[in-house]
Amino acid sequence: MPQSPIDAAYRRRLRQAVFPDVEGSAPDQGWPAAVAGLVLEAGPRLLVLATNDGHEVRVAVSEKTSVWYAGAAATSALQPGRRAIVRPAAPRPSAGGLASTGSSAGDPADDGPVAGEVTAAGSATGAMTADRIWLDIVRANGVIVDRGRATVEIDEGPHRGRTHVVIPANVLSHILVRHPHFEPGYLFDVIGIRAADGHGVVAVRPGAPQPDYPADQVPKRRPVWPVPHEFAGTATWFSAPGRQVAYPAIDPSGGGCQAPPNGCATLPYLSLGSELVIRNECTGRTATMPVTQCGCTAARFCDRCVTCGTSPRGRIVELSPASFVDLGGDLDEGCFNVTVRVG
Amino acid sequence: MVETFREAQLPLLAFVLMTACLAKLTVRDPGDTADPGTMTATLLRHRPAVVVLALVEGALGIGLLVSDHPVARFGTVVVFFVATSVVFELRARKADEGCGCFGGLSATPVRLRAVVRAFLFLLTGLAVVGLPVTGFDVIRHATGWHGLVVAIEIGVFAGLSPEIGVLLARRRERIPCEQRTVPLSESFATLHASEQWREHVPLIVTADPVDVWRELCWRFLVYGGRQDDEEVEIVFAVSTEERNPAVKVAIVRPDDDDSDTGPNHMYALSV
Repeated sequence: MPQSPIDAAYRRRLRQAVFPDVEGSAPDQGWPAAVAGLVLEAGPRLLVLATNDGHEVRVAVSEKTSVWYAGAAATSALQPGRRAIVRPAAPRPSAGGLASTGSSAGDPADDGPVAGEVTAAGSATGAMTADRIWLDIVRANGVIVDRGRATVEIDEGPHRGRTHVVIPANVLSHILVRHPHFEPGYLFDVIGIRAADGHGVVAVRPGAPQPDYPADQVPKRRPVWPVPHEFAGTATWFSAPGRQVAYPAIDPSGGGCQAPPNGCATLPYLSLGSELVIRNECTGRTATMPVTQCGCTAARFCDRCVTCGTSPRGRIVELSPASFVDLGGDLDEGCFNVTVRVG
Repeated sequence: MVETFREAQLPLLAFVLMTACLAKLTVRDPGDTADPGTMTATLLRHRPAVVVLALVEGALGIGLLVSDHPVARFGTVVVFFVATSVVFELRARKADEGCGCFGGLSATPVRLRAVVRAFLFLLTGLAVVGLPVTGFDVIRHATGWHGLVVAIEIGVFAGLSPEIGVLLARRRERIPCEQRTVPLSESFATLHASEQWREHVPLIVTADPVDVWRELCWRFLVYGGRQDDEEVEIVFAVSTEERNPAVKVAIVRPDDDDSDTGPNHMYALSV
């Protein structure tokens, strides 16, 4: 069940009235924002996407554009009907404008780029140029509730429900090596593509090695005193539209979340709508994003990200694909090392 | 030498009795709402009885320091005789309760060492009966032998006291305000008892807060209000600290530049 959006600006204004000296959000770095949408048209050099908010976005495809569809793929994989996440190429100083959208950053319904942020990424035709495109990429992570020989049913938490995962024979051994406890009660995390019928996931690769403890026996981390207001760990992503951030330690009395499980990361309580300054330590990109969902499932994972160095244990934020790519993450990698500050 | 040993017990007993008094008054037994299981434990958790016992112990401790009157000496013996009986009974019944000897710090189930400790205190109490000096006299004229005896006894009693481990664990495990689970009822109780609430409640026009959220060590509660014929929002920030939680307040006037959509009412409904 999706959670209601919170007006973070309202709460920020009132909070600043009580605490005027608190450090604010991070400055906008002007990186081109990701674009997510349904492929309407796909030519050799141009992709037309329909975003969730009803806009059409034109994306130029160059010979440098890499495409992912169940692995590295040719541009022929760009086909109408598939859902695409596009990371625009790095900005060029003299480039042209963008053809679409004007919604604000942090709007959960926003699948498009932010006006003013992406104008430098455009091509000579007026469309942005794609650096990477992921097609039909989805992720399933949660607790195994049932399994067959090559299928698994997982519970992704009260806000996301259950997901059916099919594991093709060619990746089964790879998935099982990373999930030695392939049985109910243990955690499961795979990256895959949307099933042909639109429901469920066809596994492609493990999202992360499986923790060796049952999901209800998360090891408790030693208490840290004082609790840091800036903390490091792992950022992962979850299948969700728009720009969203799930945070594992949501105040159970604040509405909208059940009591969060005791996670292994030492995190302070926040609420839906609280703003986080999230920095990708691998790319240096930083953005301020409001919490939109409880990360009940993330709290159960005590893994580390090794995308650039080794992060401290614990998934401290989960991002929707667009937010993950905004910060420079590669969806097929599954995670990046992150530092989060309460904004 | 025997006299030195007897005299050294006076400041030691006074210290123990006053420590027990302070612990009973300041550290409540965490299990005081649960069914204690035995009549003795029920009495030990009856708050008025605990307070009376604490005051008696405190008075005896002071009495041992300032007077050589037999009431303080025999009173001390009686207190430790009762304490020994209670811990012996709890131990014999294998009750899963603490003795409450040092308030909430003595919440762990009684083991043999607690019985031994109480019995040793009873013996030290008997040792000071009839001594013609006060505790302060002993401290003023203390010799190295007095210090040696007290140091050895403190070591022995510390080894017999589970409270020291509990105290260290409580110190380590005290939950930081950022991670304390604080029910809304606690925040409301703190708010309604505050000076800030009393000062601003005449301005409030909404029965319940229009928005509630928490960040780090603060829970924010927003009420609609009216001041100088103008609608305002009254924002209370209530600390989630366990001890002496603070309350801050701000009155926010509407601004034409505000681009937000206002209170998040659906999260005030959970109040």
